[in-house]
Amino acid sequence: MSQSYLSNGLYDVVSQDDNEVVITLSDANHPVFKAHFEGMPLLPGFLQIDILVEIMEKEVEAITSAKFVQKVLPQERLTYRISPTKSGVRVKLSNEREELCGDFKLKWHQKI
Amino acid sequence: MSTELNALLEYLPQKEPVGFVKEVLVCEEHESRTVVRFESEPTLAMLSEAGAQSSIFLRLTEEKKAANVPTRAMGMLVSVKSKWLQKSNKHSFEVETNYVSNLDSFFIVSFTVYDGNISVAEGQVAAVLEQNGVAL
Repeated sequence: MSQSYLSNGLYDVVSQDDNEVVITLSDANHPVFKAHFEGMPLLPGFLQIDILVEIMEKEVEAITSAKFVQKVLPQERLTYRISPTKSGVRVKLSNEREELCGDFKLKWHQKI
Repeated sequence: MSTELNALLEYLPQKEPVGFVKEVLVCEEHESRTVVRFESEPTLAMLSEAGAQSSIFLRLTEEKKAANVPTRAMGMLVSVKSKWLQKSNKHSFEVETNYVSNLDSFFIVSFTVYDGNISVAEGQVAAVLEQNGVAL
């Protein structure tokens, strides 16, 4: 797995299998948190998706729907739970308090 | 790029390396067009974020300013749907956004990403305008 210029150093993978991925985020000193936003560090919604895609070594064809329901903060431990659907996958992202942070329906394929 | 439109980039709350909008080409009440750039081939999620960032420039009209819509409000992304129309390996694109609807501070905007004259991705974003963590 290679990290992008944005995600480099942004997270560590705690555990990973086909159905569940657990990560911890870096602290607020990471350039992404300094940039999004100044004085109010939050993980951007697009990176909530791209971190998982990067770990799973996929390419997204379509974001059928992505709902961002809870702000994601630096140093949080996040769990992605992945389940197959007829046309792709559904991913529920929650924090260590088991609060739902994001709910994504994606069409993806293995990165070549 | 006109100096006047260039000055609007100051209002983009996302900074480097997450601020993808580099130029504002059109800034009208219901339509904006921007140039976005990435350091590598973008993902669909990055293009969707670029669509959301470009939508900021829909609201920065004199009409909105006169109505006291805060120009430094942050748009907190609520939802996205998008798809590739044609994969591109370019790092720079134009993004057109169009106002769809709003209810108070909740906005829905559609976007299309262009590589030259070819539309490569499209989608829709919904965002809530916030200031100091409070919905406006």
